[in-house]
Amino acid sequence: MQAIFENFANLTWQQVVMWGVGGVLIYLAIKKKMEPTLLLPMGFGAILVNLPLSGAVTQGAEVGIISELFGMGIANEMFPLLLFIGIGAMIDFGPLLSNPKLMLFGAAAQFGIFFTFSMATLFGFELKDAASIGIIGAADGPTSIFIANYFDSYFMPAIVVAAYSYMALVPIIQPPFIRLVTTKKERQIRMEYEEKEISTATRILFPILITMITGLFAPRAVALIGFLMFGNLIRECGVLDSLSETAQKVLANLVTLLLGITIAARMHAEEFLQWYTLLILGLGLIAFIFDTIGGVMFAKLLNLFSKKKINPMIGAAGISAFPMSARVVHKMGLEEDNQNFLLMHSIGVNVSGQIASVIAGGLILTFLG
Amino acid sequence: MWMNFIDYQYRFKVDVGAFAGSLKWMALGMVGIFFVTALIIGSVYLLNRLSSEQFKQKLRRFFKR
Repeated sequence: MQAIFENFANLTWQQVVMWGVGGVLIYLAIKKKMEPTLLLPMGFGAILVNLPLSGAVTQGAEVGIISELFGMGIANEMFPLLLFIGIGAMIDFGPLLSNPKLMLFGAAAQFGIFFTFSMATLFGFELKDAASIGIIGAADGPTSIFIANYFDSYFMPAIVVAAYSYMALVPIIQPPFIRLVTTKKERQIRMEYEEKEISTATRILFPILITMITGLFAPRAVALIGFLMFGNLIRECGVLDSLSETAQKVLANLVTLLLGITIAARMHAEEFLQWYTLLILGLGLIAFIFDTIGGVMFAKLLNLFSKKKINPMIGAAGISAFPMSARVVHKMGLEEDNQNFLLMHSIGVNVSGQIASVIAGGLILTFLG
Repeated sequence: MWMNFIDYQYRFKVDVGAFAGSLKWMALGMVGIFFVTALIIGSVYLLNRLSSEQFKQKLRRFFKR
């Protein structure tokens, strides 16, 4: 009889709290529909690894499957990269190719990454950890995992939780800060969309070109940008439709399925239940806020010099949380003027943010790697 | 696996020196990202131009000569 209850002696209150954390993540995923594909597996994984002497994680010489998956899929950066093939296959760069200038907003909206990086150093984080925290502002889960893992950051679980949670919270985080830095008149600026035909050759050459340019300046980002653009090349080449479909659906789903539960390998109570987790969540929020402000302010700056006025709200879509951010901007435009359709512009900025966030990550790896 | 990490100690401090040092990376990062972006924009314009019907016609005319 004693043997049945033996394991209870190994239970700590921190583990119980982690069950609660797991429960909250599962609740947010199911009830609030916040990034359920990631938060639900992470939540369940948090419970799984925090059961005393859990067989799912390595205990001494006894190898656990989640620890093994972590070694095989995240420690070598394979899962985030495979996921990028799927994401690349999902993205239509058409609106961006029609109006390449939109990429500038994507670049400006990465300000939050670098600002938060500096803020994290102010609060005593080491340079590489600060960079990993700053990259929450990439608003791009795989990039956050890739960078935090590359720098072997101790804070990866908190960083990943922050990145995915805030991505889901973009519709709540962005609007008040967009309103804060814009006037009603600015928000009512109408922008016409001229649809230009993009040749197949341009669509095919674009991913190749992006990979080469980024690779030359940020060689450590080649894997990230390369896999993203490989997915896009499969989509655009026109002869690999079945592979493109597989990448978009089967591959992306399979990797996501394993990614969430595997990240939980690092959500062990001793690591996660520290007060600095709250600090990292706070810094992550700062990253998202300053990404938004950076994009909007850059659009306002351009308006000082351009005859054709830009609705500064589209700058906020450069945050890369795709496609939520574009939808937020479009909706806000309609709220101000029900004939103001900003969707195509904001989608263009949004996909450019996807590229820019990877470039930002690559530059950080190049600077500090 | 995480036993390696438990030794890690993060202590909260306000490190103005480190913050000032990081501003260099912030500036370099923003300059870098705008530079790479400008190159990409330039290349896309070039791609659009080279694949336009007008350019193709010019090429055809050139080779017919």
